[in-house]
Amino acid sequence: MKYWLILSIFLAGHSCAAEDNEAIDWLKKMAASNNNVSYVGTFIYQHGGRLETSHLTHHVSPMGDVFEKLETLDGPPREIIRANDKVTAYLPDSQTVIVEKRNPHHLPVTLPENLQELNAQYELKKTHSERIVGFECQWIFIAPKDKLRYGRKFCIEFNTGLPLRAQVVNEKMEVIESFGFYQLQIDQDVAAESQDSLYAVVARNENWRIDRSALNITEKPFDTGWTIKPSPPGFYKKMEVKRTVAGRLSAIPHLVYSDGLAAISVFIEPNQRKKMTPPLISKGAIHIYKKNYQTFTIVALGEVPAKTVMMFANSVQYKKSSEH
Amino acid sequence: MEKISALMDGELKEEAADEQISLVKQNIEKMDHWHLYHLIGDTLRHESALDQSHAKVSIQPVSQYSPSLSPSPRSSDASPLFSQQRLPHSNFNQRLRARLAAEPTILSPHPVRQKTIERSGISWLAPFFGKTAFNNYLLAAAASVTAVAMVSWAVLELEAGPRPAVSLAKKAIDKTVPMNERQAVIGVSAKALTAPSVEDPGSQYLQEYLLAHQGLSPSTAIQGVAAYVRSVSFQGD
Repeated sequence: MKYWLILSIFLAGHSCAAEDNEAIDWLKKMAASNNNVSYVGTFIYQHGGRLETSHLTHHVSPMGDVFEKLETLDGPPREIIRANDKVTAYLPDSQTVIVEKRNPHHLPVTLPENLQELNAQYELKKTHSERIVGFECQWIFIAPKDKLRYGRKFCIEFNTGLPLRAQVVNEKMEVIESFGFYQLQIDQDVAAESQDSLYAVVARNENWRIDRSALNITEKPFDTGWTIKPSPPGFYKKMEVKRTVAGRLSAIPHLVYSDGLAAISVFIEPNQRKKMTPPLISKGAIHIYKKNYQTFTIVALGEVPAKTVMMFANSVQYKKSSEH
Repeated sequence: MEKISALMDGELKEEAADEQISLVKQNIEKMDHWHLYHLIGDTLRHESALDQSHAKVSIQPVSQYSPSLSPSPRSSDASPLFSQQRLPHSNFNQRLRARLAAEPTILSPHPVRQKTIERSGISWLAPFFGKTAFNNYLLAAAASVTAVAMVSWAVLELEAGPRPAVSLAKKAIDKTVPMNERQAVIGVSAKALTAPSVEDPGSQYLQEYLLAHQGLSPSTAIQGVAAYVRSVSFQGD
């Protein structure tokens, strides 16, 4: 009898692990879809009871180059273009172009390597399947093990691995942010002209303000002298650089922490002496918390609950010289 | 106070003017009067601090002392940016002083001779230039620092407003200031950008952080550019 009990516990544990592995396989498939599936669609971004629709073009060339274009359809027109590692945002309402170029080797959090790391802070569950915008998809639930992070739900298309729905849920299991296609064509041949920006020409002709933001491309990590101590449990430092941020006049320290799924950025810049209200801002799953620390303004932000970004901002310290 | 007014209008003789200038320079209250008079004058003429600042960028060398230290904006090319009627803050001078006190090392965009003076400390050089010239220099230098700060301030003010204006401001600076001086202007404006301003939560200030962060987030690795919609979403929560 006792042996049966042990065996059944073992089997239960085993089947649970098998389910985890299956869930990880789905997530890997989803992560890979980014680099091997072309599609055109319209999706809804839902946050805080608001809806915004955007048009999305995703094209993977035979050479493996990824080209993406996002155009907002509601509110002021805005366009984001990603060509491999270069992201360009056109903001016609303020006549601004923001350019972000990253070295792919510096992406601190990449999938699927980090998927294994997820297990420490999250529980992976394969749940039901569903039909969304004409495609069958499998729901995977990534449930947090504590209240410092949010849960995620993805409905992953059977064949291509494309996430048809992506949701962020809080501890009450309320969906606080959701991305979902409502119209989608997979494996669409994207015409060359649709890859062009609607605004590139006018931006050039009318001399829009261009902000370039670039990571400090150095192979070795940069010791900014700043640290997060103690860092909230389960988060580890992934990157420490001094970087230029569009709109800032000099390079500022930027620390990135992650638990494998959520990332938190901490920026430290000379005191802006700006009005600090409101210090806490949220947008969908993202919380942004600002505080003054000595002569600096600290900005912590990430797709985590408010208290987590606050913990980060409050733990920022300048390392003593003896610790260097 | 009448004398300050007279000084402004160029009615004083050179010696009297020098005396007034040094008084103004030494006396904060008189400096405020000086500023107030200009403010009144500008308001009457429907010119704004922005107009002045624009014009002052091209402020003249020391020796070319002129009672009108805030030359008429008409003398310079009027860009659309400065056509807007914006009343200057009356406490601008106070704020400027506070900032100057906090940043005593600001270099003004001036020819080499003056920079040398500034770098090497000031007062001991006075005998070499003669008192009058030196006083004039100080005042002109102060004015040019003001100008620089004002340009910066103008840029700062506009930073919160529509962006095109900023690029126009930059262009205006580019046109009027030679390269080496422009650097000084930009250098100072960098500091001045930290001056107090009210921030809109949905402002570009945060948008840029969001964009910087988004590229590093796993959600981008999962969802690609769709995750960027957060950065450009127009609705706050």
